[in-house]
Amino acid sequence: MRTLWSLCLLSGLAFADGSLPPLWGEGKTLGQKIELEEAHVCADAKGHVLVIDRVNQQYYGDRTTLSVVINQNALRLFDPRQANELARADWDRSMNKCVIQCGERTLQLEPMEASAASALLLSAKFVASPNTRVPHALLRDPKGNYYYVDRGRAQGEEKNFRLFVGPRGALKLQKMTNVVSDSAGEIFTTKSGDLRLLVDREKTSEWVERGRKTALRQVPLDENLHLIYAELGVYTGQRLGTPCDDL
Amino acid sequence: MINLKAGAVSALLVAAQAWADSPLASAKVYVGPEGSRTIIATVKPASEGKCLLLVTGTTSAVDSLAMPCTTELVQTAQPRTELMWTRRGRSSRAGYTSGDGRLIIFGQGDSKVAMTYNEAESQKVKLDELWAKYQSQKKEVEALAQFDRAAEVVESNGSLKKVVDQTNKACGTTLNVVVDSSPLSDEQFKRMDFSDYCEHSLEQVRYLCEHWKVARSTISARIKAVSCEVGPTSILVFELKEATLVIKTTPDSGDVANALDHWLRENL
Repeated sequence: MRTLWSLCLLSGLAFADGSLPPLWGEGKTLGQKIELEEAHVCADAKGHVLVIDRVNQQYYGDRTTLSVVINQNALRLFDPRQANELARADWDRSMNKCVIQCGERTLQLEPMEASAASALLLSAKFVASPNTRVPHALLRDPKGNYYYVDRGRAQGEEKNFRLFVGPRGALKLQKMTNVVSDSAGEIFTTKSGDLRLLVDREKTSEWVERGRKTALRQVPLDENLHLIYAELGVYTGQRLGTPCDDL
Repeated sequence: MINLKAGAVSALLVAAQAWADSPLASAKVYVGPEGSRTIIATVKPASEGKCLLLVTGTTSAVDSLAMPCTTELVQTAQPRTELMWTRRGRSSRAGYTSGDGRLIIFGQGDSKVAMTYNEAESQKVKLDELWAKYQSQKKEVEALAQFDRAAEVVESNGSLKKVVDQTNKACGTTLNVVVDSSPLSDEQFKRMDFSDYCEHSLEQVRYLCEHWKVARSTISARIKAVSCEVGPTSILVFELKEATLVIKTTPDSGDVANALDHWLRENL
């Protein structure tokens, strides 16, 4: 689990401050011009643009603003909303096109002409991914209510927690009044109760509301990303900054 | 080409002279295609790695000459024994034994001949006749071993021309390439294939042109000549003076190709 999130984090951290340095910079030196030539820029008739650079860093957006696409690994985009979590965007050398797959849906984007592509890369604004949150913990009580905690993705935002509580599809954001976080675990205090999240897995995490304790079962994050992103209701309607947002 | 420490070159020359009284201990014969054949005779004591080499029926530079040689065990992923001889004051590879026991002899250009060990032929070798052949060819062999800077420069220029032509073709240029190794002492010259530095630099330029259109157009527009010079320090220096790419290296400089690639990407 840590490895998966480390990969996602690394990808996000490099662009945390919003000032993104694409490999081609200002396109002035030979090295930068080579990066421009190496980048594949594909677009569709609706104005969606996908950029895949030499090191397979991808950017998605329109002709004026492109955001960093967070990858789950070298082969997949981080978009757990898709069936089987299958989300990928590749440059297909044989077809000379960008190929996007989101679950069972596929789309081919035509490459832009080289000079137009370079002009776009040099004029567009490159920004951080809109996917600014990272799952932190998921727990469930015996009645089927979920307790979900996420945190900020960017550097310096790791302790910026949010707590959502409720049944599947209708989790509500809780107003946090205090957070205690140390090596033993975390206590999230809200207006309605305390979520005691313990790192020690042999001890039970619990929700304490008006003195009444409810034991909570930890739900593994990496095995439940589709549940988190597509079913809990926490991220409904939010863009993850991948081509699958529009496909 | 091979860079070798000056001390090692001297040792080889001294070793060649010291053999006058050394008898041969044993010989191995390797047989290859089209009548090619190599005899490697061990000089006593075998532990010193000295040998006498006679290659025939190949395009090798040592073909038909009974030539002093040394063997050097090279520890790579697949250890092999290099067969070395002294050419123009430099240690040069005549061939090597591959992992499967075959002997590979270098011919002209990039050609190689593979030979296999033959026990019966090895038993037939008359060591005294081989030694006598060496004695009779000694002057010719020593002449080959003699350092000849001018000949080295001519040969290097020939090799460089091929690389220049390839680079010009890839880049759409007509580069005027000048190599000036004159500041190097003979000892520095022996241990440094100065022309190689220039060749490697040009090969890197060619690589850029072959892989990226923008590199080809940029290089053809900005570089008209290349000057490979001896630098004042071991730090590689690259400059673009008007349209001449100046490359300054010394015997102790590092990987010129990588450094030049980086410089070109940053400065063109």
